[in-house]
Amino acid sequence: MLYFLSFVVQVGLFVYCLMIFLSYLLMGIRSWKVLQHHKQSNTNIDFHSFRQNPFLPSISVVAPAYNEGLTIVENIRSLLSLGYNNLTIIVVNDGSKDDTLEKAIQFYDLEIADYYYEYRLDCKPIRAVYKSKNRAFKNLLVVDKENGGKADALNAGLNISYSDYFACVDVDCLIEENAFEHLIFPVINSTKEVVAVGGIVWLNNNSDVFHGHMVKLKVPDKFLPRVQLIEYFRAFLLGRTAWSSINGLLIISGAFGIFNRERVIEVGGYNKNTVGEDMELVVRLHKLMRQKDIPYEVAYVPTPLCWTEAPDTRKVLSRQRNRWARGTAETLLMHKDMLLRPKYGVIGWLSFPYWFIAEWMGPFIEAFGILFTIIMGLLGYVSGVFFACMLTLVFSMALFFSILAVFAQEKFFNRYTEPQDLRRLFFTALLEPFVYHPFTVYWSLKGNYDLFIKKVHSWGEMTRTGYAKKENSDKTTAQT
Amino acid sequence: MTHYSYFEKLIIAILVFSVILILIDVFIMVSVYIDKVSAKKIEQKKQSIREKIQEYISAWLIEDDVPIVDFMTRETHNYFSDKQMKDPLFREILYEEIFIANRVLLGDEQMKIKELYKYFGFEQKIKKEFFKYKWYKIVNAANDMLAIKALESSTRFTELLDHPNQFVRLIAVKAEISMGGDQVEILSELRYPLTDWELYEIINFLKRNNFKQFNSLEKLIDHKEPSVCVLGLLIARTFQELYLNVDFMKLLLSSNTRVRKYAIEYLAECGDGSYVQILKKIFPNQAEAVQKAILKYVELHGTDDDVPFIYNRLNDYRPAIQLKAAETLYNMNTNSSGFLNYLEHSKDPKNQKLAIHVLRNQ
Repeated sequence: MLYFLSFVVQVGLFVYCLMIFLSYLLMGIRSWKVLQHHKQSNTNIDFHSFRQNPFLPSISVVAPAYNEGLTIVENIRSLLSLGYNNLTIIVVNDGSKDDTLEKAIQFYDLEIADYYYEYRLDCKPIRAVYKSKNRAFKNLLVVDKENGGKADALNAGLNISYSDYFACVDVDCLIEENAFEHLIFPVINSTKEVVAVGGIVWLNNNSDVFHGHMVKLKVPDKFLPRVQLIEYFRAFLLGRTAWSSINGLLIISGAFGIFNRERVIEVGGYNKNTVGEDMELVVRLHKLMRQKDIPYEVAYVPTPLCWTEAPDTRKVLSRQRNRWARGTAETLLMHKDMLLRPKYGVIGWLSFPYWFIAEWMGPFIEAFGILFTIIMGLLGYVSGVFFACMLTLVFSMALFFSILAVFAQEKFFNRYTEPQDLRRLFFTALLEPFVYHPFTVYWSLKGNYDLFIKKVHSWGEMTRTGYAKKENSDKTTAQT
Repeated sequence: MTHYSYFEKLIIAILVFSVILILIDVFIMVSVYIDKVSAKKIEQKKQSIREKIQEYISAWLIEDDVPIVDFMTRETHNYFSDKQMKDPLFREILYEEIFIANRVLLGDEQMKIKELYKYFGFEQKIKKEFFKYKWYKIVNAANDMLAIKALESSTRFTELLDHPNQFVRLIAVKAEISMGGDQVEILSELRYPLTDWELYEIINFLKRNNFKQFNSLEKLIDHKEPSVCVLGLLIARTFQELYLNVDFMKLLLSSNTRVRKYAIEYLAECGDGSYVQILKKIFPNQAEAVQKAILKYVELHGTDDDVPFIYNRLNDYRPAIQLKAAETLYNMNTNSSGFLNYLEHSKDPKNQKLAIHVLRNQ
């Protein structure tokens, strides 16, 4: 009986493994084609002259800031230097306990403005809206409000915004100067209504940054950020690129994306009851447009436009992954009515099943497989040869997609100039399945445990070094 | 026994599959790494070739009345030997440099560059590329032909106006217009919907190349494809075509939002105030962008009679429309502006805030 059970489970795991491989392979092939098309298309678009176009939709950049006193001045400077023609920067101070607001007021010469807005979306009270006395910063608004979390701050920013589109950005992200020309392109080059556009977010730990601009991109020195970089390559280059090409993208990174303001208000803004508010919003937008039967698009620009700092300690990373796991589970459960419903098209038939099986259930299946194999191995019901073969198979598959993602980066973007960067990435890809992946499985399980058993719904703290601090410390080092 | 044999086969299949994957990985890693290591050397080589080619192009440009064949057969110009020309890297850089020079030079010097282009046989190369299947090869070839002014009247471009790829269609439009065709006739051939980006590309192209004469623009505006109609309206607005024989009522009642919006914008800029009443009537059922366009129209052509209409818009459920209405009051005329000043001191806190916002932010 046990032998039969063992056999059935092993076959089940093997089939699961092959299904995942097949879906990744299909995504890889699809992404490759899309990336090629995107590269060829971009050579025929003059983004520079495009910037002068007076008909471009207006964009508000909403950047929530909480206890960012260390970097707020530099971060706002970086946002102000963005080259888009029709841009408003809205920095939302989410009741910071430090001197975030005071520093912004002092440096940018801010004063309370007579600014009209309504609470169209529910958010904590807005204390004041500040504008600069200096005309050079005329497109900057700083909103001071009571603390309510990231989703609440974004809703406050949306209440203030009057632009056609709004961009949600993490205030400490570095954004390429021409990022919004690229992001808005799918909007003005589609015959359908584009409700949201996402872009690639990449990691910049150890890269050279000066005055909020990327000077030289480097592969992170530490193992943890480096292995996350490979994960980002896989997710953004092979995964999201493919999903967006069939309008099945379920997530636009909370760090960087643009949304149709009126549509977001129509669906009720950001949901404050989930830690996966970015994914949840995109799913709700899909739902709205499918229900209303309006031709629409959730677009994606496969170009690296935004740089962020990855957690470089296990403690912070585990919190982040825990949050992602909770966010995924919450969103999928909130909208489980979309699963396998013909009304929701590709979302109901492909995206949702994939996310349920591969993204949410994946860690459970993996953990079960490992535990089951160990127990059955101890009881003598698992063939050592079969186990070794399966291990080789899983390793070769994992390595294949990591190498393919690095290759895609090299072929289509070629952002890392040093051969040693590649050496380190390849070495990390070899180690990842053994020394990193088991932890991500554990963190996901822990996230689900926290959500369903401990009923945790809050964000963890994300400690950041800050570019300004890094620049200063570099300067100090150079001076000494 | 049969089961065991099947099991063995499965294990062999898994192993073979895994080994193949690992071999592919190794191959990719090695080739990508070698490429990266040699990239700097190739860049240096490219740079040295580039400098030499630039030197010879400059020498050719300062020569007067010397046939290109004589120039190239001089002892000192053996740099362009058959051996060199067979090197793909050399040809690639030579091609790039010719196009860079073509972009920055004008008049006779540009003609001399074109002679070089013909002498090295690039004309044939481009023509060959132009008839290829892949869309980006067609576009690149057509772009280069357009840049070096080597377009030839060809039915190929007319065929390409109906190509499924937007970049091909766009370059075909530009090429056909550049060859002296009637702009309106060419644009009315378009069947695919045009995106906003394509519209602005076409208008920019017309502006840059000073194509200003439009015969019967009405043909575009009455086109059955709404985006071509929008293109017609945009051309009319951009080039201030004031006297059009068009049924604007039909456009204002069109089922297409873009047609309505651009028709209102055209009328606001180039028309008179005769549409105020109809626009006020259709206002409630419009999208936000169209409503803003209507308020802009009223701002430019409205009278004191329209103040109640604008005042009602201050109670719209969307703050963006409320603000636009307040701005319309401020900008329309002295009386409406005075009304906004009155609202600044009114007892209704919402209207007061709206008025203050507009008055302080002008």
